Amino acid sequence: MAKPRSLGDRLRSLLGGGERAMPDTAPRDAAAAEDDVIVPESWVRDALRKVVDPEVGIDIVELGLVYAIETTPGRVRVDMTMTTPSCPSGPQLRDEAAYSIKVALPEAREIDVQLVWDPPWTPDRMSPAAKKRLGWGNP
Amino acid sequence: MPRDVSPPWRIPLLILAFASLAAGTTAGLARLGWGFAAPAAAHGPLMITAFFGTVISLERAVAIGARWAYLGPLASGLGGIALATGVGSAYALPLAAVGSLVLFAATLSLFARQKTLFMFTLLLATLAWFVASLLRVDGREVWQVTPWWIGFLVLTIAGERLELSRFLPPSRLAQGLFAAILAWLGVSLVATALAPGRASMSFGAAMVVLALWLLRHDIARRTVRERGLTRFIAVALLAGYFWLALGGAAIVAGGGLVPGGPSYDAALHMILVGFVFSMVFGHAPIIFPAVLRVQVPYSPLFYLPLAVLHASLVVRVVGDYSGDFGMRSAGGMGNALALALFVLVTVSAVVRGLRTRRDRPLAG
Repeated sequence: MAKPRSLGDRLRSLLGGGERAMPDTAPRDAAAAEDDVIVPESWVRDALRKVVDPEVGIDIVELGLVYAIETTPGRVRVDMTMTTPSCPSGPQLRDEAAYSIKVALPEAREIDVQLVWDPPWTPDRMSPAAKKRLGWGNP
Repeated sequence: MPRDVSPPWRIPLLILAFASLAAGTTAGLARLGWGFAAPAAAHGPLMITAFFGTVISLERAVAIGARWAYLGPLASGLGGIALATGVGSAYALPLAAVGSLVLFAATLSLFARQKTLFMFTLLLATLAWFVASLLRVDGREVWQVTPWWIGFLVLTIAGERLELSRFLPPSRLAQGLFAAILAWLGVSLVATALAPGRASMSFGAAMVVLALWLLRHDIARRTVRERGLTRFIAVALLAGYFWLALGGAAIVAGGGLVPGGPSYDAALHMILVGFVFSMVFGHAPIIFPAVLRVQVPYSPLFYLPLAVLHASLVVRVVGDYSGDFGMRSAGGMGNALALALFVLVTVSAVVRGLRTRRDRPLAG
């Protein structure tokens, strides 16, 4: 099945297509109706693919740094980690992740990205594509 | 978890560090005969404890996000100002000792959370700085503690690279070899405390083996095939390993790290400029955003200071070994120019980042 072009398009088609139903000045109850949309987890995951670890040039999803995505009406919660708590980039990448979701999915009014350390990241969490790109299996 | 210090409050600490870098660089140029009115004797302490010590402590404090950890960069940064200005210079050594102790404690708290070989390496690195600081308080000369300072910086980088090597995990045998090199380095450092000078030959040999290990296992060998910033970081690192190996070999060939001979200046700067600063240049576009929450968008211009750094180091080292003081001085000026270019290129990237991405999150 062909995917709509952008995440915004996808949401709009989910809502019945056409222009966004709720302008910013819409009454409270109308905004609440929009809140009822549950953003699919896969869209959040796609948004997080924009967050790249510059050290390796691979995104945080492929590196296995995203532990959990939870979506409820109007709300997205993500648990992510870093390879080590000694990395100073953790809080910044957490904010980048939240920003990336905000840009891709403006309908998610509340975005909560948490840095978690349990369980610790292990290399096994990387996707097969990431492993291949980093040379796993090659002498 | 104690509350973190917000990014704007980290700026004064970075200013302390970069003031020490400026003072340390002009002090180095004064040593090389350039007419700067700077405390030439303070060159080493300003660069190692006041600049690197402060920057590394700040980076670690950001990682653990606890207020007390910022006392480390504050202490070592203020120690740098005392050295540079001569005001309260009696406190410079105790302040460096406090800074190194706080960094050790911060790293220990991380080690308690993640008991791994790479975290142990980072812990050993901070211990090396703390020991060096104590030896200085005890009255040891700069050259006598230099191996400890080098140990601090090289092990910090080695620990971080070992951590990143997990993206392409080294075999158990390779990890065992790394641990053996670590033990070798530790024993060599203790030996230099007991008998400075010749004992550092073993330390130099360990540096060579460590450089070869890193060169073999660092993911930079893979990521150099990527593009943009990722490739730039890898290039900076791979060039650095070359100098680390060469610097270690120079320590051995020169009969140890003893001032006077040509290899002292050459070996020190091959490791500290060629390896450590190369790594700093490579990682500034990652560390600045992490510490200050500003964007440092990649530009091919980043290669300019890196190229000047390495080219001028070649000039300096050739000047060292050929006994051509003018060439050595010119090389040293080239090193300083590379640092100035680095600051300029980084600041202009920050400004560019602020202009183009105003809507990005700047504070956590």
